[in-house]
This record gives sequence, structure tokens and C-alpha cells, in this order.
Amino acid sequence: MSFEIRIHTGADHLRMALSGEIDLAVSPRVREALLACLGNGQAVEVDLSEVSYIDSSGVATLVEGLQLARQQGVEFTLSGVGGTVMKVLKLARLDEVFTIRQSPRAVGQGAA
Amino acid sequence: MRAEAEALRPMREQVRSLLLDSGASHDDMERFLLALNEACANIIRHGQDGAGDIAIEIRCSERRIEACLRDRGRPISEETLRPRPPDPERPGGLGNLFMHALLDEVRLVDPGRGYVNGLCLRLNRTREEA
Repeated sequence: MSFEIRIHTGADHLRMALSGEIDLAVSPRVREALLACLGNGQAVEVDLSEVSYIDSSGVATLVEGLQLARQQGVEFTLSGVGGTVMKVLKLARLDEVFTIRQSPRAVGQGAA
Repeated sequence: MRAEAEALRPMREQVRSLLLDSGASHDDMERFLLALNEACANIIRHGQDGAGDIAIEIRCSERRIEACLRDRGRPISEETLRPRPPDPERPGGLGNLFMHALLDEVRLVDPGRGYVNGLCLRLNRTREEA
């Protein structure tokens, strides 16, 4: 599966849906898209439900997104975190650092 | 493999296929692939200045899976390989943490002629699925 980033724009948040494998080759693209989404000033949700692999560069990119969101005072959540991705977050001891939704929020649905 | 980020995914696919043929469990395979990916990514990020190659030799036996990596990048030391505790404020350096957490051994070895660094990764196959 080739790597894809899809941005869904809602009234009150942006959902960035990633699919494929996140490694050192694609993490810069994820970072660029994250920074663009966060520059919007809206809450950002990163949907990982179609991510089959993530390495330390991908995890570091998500942490950078979280840090930037905190600085800007906007909500930053992960959703659709499957077993493979969760194992890596736990390995990095970051599973409790992120706010994780079980399933992606519908675009246009109000904040929980 | 070429010491380029774009070469990581094809490398993983090739090694995954090899490990499947060797009868590795899903858990062992995923652990080893992530650790190997991190070792190669470290070399690409820190060692090669955008050029060169990484020689990877994989050995599978009933008891263990091993990889020996050789590269011509900047020299590394035991200190370079030492993992530091995870810190959400400083997410860099997770690669070393992953390698040490996933594997039974990460050690520097004689790189042999023509190479600068040699790194050996070992996973004991004790996590076979029933």
C-alpha cells in the first residue's frame, strides 16, 4: 500500500487521515501536513486507522505535532490506533501522553 | 541497500519475506523488522551524508534471528548506541530505545575491510506462537 495523507475539513476540526507505512521516507510529509493543519488554528485529529506500520520517526513527528498544538492551545488527538501502532507508542512510553479516540470523529461532529 | 530513506520499505519487505520463509512468528517478525529499520534509519540519518550503502546480512536459526549491518558512515561508539529514557518533550533518539527494547542484543562488531561500522542485532526466538 502506498502512503497517503487525506485532509478532511470540518466546521470545528481537521481530520488528517494517514494510510500505509510511516517511516523516515514519509515522516517529513506527515510533519509538513501536520504543521499546515495546526496553522489553521482548529483542533486536529490524526486518524491512524489505515496505518499498518510506524517507526520512531513517525512517533517523533506525532509528538512534535502534540507539542505545537499545546503551544497554540488547540486540541490534538489520535484516533483509530490499531494494535501495531499502539505497540510502538507503548514501546516509546507515549501511549498515555496522547489523547486517543477509539474511532475517528465524523467531520462536522462537535467536539466530545 | 542504498543508504536512503526510500530504501527502507523495500528492505523491510525483503526481510519480511525471508523471515516468513524461516518460520518466524508474527511477533518475532514485527519486533525484528522494527529494530532493523531503526538501525538502518540511524545510519541514514547520522552516518552517511546522503551517500553510500548499507550491507545487511541476515542469519536465521532455530534459536535466533541475527542481522549484521556494515556501513561507511561516521564512526559510531557504544556511547552513540546507548538508549536514553523516553522524554515526551524530546522525542528524538527513540530509535536506540526501540532497538534495545525489542532485541536481546545490540552490539558493535568488527566491520571488516572497507567498512567503518559493524553492528550486530540479535533476537532470540523465544516468542513463537503456539
